[in-house]
Amino acid sequence: MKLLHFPVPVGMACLAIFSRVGHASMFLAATLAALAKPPHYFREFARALVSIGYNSIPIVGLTTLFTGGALALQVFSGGSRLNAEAAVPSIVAIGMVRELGPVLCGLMIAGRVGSAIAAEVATMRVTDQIDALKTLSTNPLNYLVAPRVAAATLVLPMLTAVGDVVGILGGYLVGTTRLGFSSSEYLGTTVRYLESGDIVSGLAKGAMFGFIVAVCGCYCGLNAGKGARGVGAATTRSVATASILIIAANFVMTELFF
Amino acid sequence: MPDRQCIEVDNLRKSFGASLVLDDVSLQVDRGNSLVVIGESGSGKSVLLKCMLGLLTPDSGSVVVEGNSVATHRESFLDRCGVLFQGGALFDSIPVWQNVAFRRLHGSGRLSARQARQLGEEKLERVGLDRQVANLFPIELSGGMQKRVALARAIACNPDYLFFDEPTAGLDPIRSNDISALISDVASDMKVTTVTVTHDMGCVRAVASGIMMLRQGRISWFGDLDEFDKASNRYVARFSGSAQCAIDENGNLGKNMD
Ligand SMILES: Nc1ncnc2c1ncn2[C@@H]1O[C@H](COP(=O)(O)OP(=O)(O)OP(=O)(O)O)[C@@H](O)[C@H]1O
Ligand SMILES: [Mg+2]
Repeated sequence: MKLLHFPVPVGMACLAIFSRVGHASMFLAATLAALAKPPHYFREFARALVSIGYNSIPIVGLTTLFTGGALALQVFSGGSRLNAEAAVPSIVAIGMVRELGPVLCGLMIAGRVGSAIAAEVATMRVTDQIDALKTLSTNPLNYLVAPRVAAATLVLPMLTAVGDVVGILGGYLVGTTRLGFSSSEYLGTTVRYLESGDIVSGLAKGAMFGFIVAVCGCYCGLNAGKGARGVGAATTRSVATASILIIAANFVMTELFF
Repeated sequence: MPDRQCIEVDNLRKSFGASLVLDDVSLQVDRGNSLVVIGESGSGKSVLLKCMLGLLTPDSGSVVVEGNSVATHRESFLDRCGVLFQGGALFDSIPVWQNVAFRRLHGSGRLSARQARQLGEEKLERVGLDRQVANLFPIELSGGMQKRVALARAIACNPDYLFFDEPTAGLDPIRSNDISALISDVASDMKVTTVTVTHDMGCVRAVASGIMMLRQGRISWFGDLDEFDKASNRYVARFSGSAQCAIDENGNLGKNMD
């Protein structure tokens, strides 16, 4: 008899998953429509550019600087077993530009910006500000979501480029001070093996990750539960979801660009 | 005639999960009239207001304004509404004057920033606030001042319909009389149809042309101000202050309180 009841919770769980995915997909479609259709709020967009992009430069710079340095040390210690120490500069450069630059940027921005977007939007929701927007003839998707998504998608490739350069600089500092490379040797090897395709694929990943972070932040914020706890839960959910989606999207895009 | 019965609510039902908040609520507000909704805390007044505005979707029943269903014509209805939310719902990232003139800055009928600012300052004066307040941010104001800014925002664009959720809560008695007088002025000057939720008997007397008592999601009494004062319904009598008596859970009259 018990066995006969078994499909019920499974079915319920499936329905819940489908309903959530459907809900999120509809939000995604509405966001894309809001991005394409006026009214566009350029002031909100500019504000988002500053808070997402400019204010994130230090955190992205620090993260990639240390990672670039650590990467140079690791590649050197691994490479020395194969007599491939000379490849350190190009492996650091390719690793940063194709993989670590965009992924680190995406994850740091998910933590710094995705959480802030989710908390702000969720607070607006629990204090009726979202409803107030609607009563003032302003669509929250146009006013809140579209500017943030557009700004994050545009600015993340730029942050990724900053991260790439600083990461390579980290490798360069370690390479020239600790690993015995001369400055010209290190930079020469870096540039020689780096292709434009590497850079483009990394920047494209950055754009995708920016889009993911902003959409997750807005979606979780707009669907926040009640009170301070709802805001906290929305923030956590937005960072966790964005991080997982970034890692997954990174794999898919790497496969595409392979 | 659809014109006379301006707002018609029919058999409205709304529940959240298992709890039924509005149970078969029907009411009508004629053009230029001013309905006051009273009822104890948690009786569903705010939910009723949000359902009337189309901000919450009822489980069943309908809200029709001038012959058009709010479910399908929400945007055009909200274009003509001013709403004061219970918590004020001011946008905390923009200064007070932009809050007041928000619709004219971002929504329909846009004005230049200078004209919008002028409009904002005018409306602030109308609710008894100094022009200097215009440059402050909402968090820099006291609770009562925020309420008045929210009121200024609601009346800023000469709406045809005004919805107030506890406009005088948190104000001192003098200010609360002023606001009640302001609401009744606005309603009679501008031929506006208003729906006001309040606990404040002064406000009820100043504003109401019809009074509706909500109790546990149902309409337990309906009438005009004269009938209100003479009502034999014990809850109404207790609410209006004309009977000083204790009432138990089932509505039975207990012993006198003093
Ligand atoms: N979004 C929501 N989710 C779940 N329950 C809700 C929600 N909004 C309101 N409720 C419930 O509906 C009931 C009525 O709430 P409502 O805010 O309408 O009360 P109210 O009459 O306005 O009270 P007050 O005078 O205190 O403002 C409450 O029991 C509340 O818990
Ligand atoms: Mg309420």
